[in-house]
Amino acid sequence: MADLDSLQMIGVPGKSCLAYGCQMKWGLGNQLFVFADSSQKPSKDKPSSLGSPEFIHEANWDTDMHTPVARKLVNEAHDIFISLQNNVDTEDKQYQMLKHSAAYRSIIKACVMDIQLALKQCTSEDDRMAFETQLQLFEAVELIWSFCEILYVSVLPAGALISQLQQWMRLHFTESDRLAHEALRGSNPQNAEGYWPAVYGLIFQGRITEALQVLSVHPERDSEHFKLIEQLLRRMPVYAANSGLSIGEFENKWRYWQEECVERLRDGSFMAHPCLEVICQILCGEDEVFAAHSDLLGTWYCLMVARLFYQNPAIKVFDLQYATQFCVDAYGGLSNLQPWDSILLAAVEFDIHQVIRECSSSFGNWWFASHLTDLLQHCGKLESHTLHFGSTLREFLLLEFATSLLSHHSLWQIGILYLDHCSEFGRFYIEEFVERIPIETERKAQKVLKICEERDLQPQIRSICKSMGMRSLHNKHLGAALSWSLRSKDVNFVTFIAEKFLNEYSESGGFIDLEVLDHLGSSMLLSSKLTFLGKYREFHRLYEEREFKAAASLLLALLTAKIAPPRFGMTLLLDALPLLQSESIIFTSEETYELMHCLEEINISRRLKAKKAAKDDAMDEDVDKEKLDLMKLGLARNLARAIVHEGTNFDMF
Amino acid sequence: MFIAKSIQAEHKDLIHDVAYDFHGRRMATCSSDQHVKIWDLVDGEWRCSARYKVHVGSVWRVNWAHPEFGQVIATCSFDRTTAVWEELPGDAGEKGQWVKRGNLVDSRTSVTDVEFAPKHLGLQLATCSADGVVRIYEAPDVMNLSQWTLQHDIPCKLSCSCVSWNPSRVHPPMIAVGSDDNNPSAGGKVHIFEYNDNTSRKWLKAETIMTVTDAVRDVAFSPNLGRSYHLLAIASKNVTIVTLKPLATKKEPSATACTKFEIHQVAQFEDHQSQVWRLSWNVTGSILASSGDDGCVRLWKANYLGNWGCISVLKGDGSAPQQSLTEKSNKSNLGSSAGTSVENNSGGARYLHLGPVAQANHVPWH
Repeated sequence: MADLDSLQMIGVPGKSCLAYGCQMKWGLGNQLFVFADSSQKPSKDKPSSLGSPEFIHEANWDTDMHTPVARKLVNEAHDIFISLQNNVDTEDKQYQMLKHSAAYRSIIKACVMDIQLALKQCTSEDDRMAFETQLQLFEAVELIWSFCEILYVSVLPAGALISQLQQWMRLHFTESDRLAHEALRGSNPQNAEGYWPAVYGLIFQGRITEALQVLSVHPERDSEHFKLIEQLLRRMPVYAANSGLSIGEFENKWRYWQEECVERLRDGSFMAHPCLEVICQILCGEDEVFAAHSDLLGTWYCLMVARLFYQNPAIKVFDLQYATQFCVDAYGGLSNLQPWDSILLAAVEFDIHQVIRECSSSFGNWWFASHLTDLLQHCGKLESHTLHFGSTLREFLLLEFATSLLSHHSLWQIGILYLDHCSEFGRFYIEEFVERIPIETERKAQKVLKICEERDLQPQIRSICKSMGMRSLHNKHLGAALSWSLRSKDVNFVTFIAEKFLNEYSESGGFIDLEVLDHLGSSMLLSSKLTFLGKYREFHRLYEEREFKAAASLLLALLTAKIAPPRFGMTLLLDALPLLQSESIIFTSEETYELMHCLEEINISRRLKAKKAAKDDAMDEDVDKEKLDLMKLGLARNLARAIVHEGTNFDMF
Repeated sequence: MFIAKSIQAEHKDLIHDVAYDFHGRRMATCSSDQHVKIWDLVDGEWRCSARYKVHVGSVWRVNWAHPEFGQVIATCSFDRTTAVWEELPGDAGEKGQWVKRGNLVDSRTSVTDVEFAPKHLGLQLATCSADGVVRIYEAPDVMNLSQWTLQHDIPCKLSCSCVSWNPSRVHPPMIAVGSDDNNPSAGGKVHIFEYNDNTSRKWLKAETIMTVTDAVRDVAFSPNLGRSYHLLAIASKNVTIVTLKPLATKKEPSATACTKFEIHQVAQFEDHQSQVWRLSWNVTGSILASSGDDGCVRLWKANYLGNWGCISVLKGDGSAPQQSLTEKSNKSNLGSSAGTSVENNSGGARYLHLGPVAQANHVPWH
């Protein structure tokens, strides 16, 4: 159902794109990169004749909501949206829906005011243009929203509908106020150009008191005609829900009053005064007078409300659609309707599908269509349609809106919160997106991870942590890499980084990033390499703190438990050497035996290896030999001291 | 929709492929000039951080590995090789160097496509070549990229032009291979292969899409989004979108049988009216972009009722690009070919609002 009229053609600059055609690649979100195509068959390998520098063009869309003013709207609308979702199943649903609808309207209104303010302050012509477009857009949004609210969200009794519509009109169409104000300011208001149009306008909008005020400045106000028209206006019955008047009684009263007006018109009471005659014609609800003043009324829907007020004040919502034909014709028929006019027409005709369709295509953003649809869907207005697409349509629009937010560097978080409320695809969208969110800082990483954790997206958490770990590794931040790898719970990765730490130790003889190593806790057990690394560091710490006894037993445990990588065996033994040579006896005789046993084992494995390696490292051998001898000497001495010591101590008991 | 900015790529020849890393912050471009360039997005501007010669022939495609495996790209070329490159750690502030980690020389003809497998399959790579062989390579130790082993070679009989992995995590590993063989009588040009892990440990042909008999230039699986079916886009003389719905099989795994699919064509568009060359899905698989010999890029999208339609067309109009990079004075290059010099137009509006649409940045409903 591609709509060819609305199909968009985008021009891509650059000569080469014109000459060779375009080629594309997706970026993140609504971001497409376009460059000149090289549609040659891969079998040719001739350099092309093109010598100019190549360009890559970045195309974006749905960025309307990325302006600072709209961002505020997005943020505030989100709060209302969430609150609405939480209040769907309350008992006073009807009231809640109305409340939330009004809340939406108030933030749109605030947004309009923000733009007006920005418009006053802006200096550059480009900005002014942009703001003016935005202003028009949001004013239309507010107009349509409140119209839809009256029709779909509030359930109004007959009679109350028209007064609601009149109020809506008064809020949005203030032309007659302006005219009246201008006329009254002059010295001869009755001669002002806008005097009578102001009176008609006010009466069209049903604002009798104000109309009377304007009339009261007329010098002929005490004449008979004026008295008569004033009387008619004053006696116009007004429907109020709490007046105790039933709708039938009101209709009767209204009929009597209008019959009187018709009578006055017929008997020529106002023949002498054509302006007053027009007023009376309006009161009688004569079609000609409405059609004649279509310019003053401005739009078909203002005409409709005015005409209905004087022809059928007790009209019901569903009958509105029968009153549109006349009004639309007065403005040149369907073909002359502006896009926003036709949205309202569709709304009156209860073609909600069409309303949403047109809202989506007329407004440069998905904000309006998605929020309105969500509200209407919760009001149950979509399901009553022939097609059962209500929730699908709602989700479709919300997904579009969320996607447009996800392309933004800070609004993406709100986008995700919207996706939470898309039951079918929301979670999958989050899964696809969350891993791809560019993470520039540690803080952002924590934010993204928190979002994942709240939604229990384990694979994504692991992947993000691992990518962060890889990046830290790439930037040579071993400590950070280790903590990220621990969070990713990837054993191979942890082992790899522990290995890096040990290599670093072998080369420099010291540990780096101590804070991480000293606080491994139970995560140490993830990989045996890491366990060794952590314990070995603990040994160093104990040694530095002169806790020799504890250090010695830890060292022995490391040696006997065989978690040390083979190449570290000798290093560990050499670490024991200063302990063996210390003044006080640290290793008991039994422990010394064990150390000797370890030494022997290492010796044997070394010899085996040396045989295999065919003695090409004669030099190393010599160094090792020296170390071995030193070690043996140390062990023997310590053993002797320990035996003597233990013997003496034993004697004491 | 509007063109926000233009980046001068400064390749000496036509660009064949552009690839974005997983986050869209880095870009690799490859060209007939046998070089690859790496670009980084710094403060909203793309800056070239590396340029190096990767092959001795035109470089057809470039592809990024998942960032879990580090900063890794793969390139394939007319010179019959596929290469894997890794960025070496650089000191803070300094850009790293790229070194060749793998040189995969098994093909005897031009390697036409290369694509990394979805990351849940580890570090695997699929290549396809003009002699009709798809090769699957793997780095068994993801921490050591200098070891690549050829795990499988899958004969396709027809000259291959493109390969695409199915990103689904729940389905067995699956690839789609397209052939640019011009002879319609050679049968379907898109083959679906599936890895049988249970018994044979081989890639087996699961399906051939018989409806597409014209030369295929690109195939692309859509992100799965938890659907019960797979969505595959095919670039041939038209853009075709098919769904592959796995048919429920008997519980016991049989030795040879692959999953059978119910193949259903959901959309076919002739709008390009010419050969379609490339396809690309967006992150969530909601929009498909295609480019063809008509010089246009077209965007396709399904509405809420599942009907596909075109939402946008991008076409070169020859106007002067808005450059975001400060153009280096490269007069000799510009002067050498008349009519191709590009006027630098750095002032003026922030955005170029193009096209005859009043609201330039909306994607209309369809």
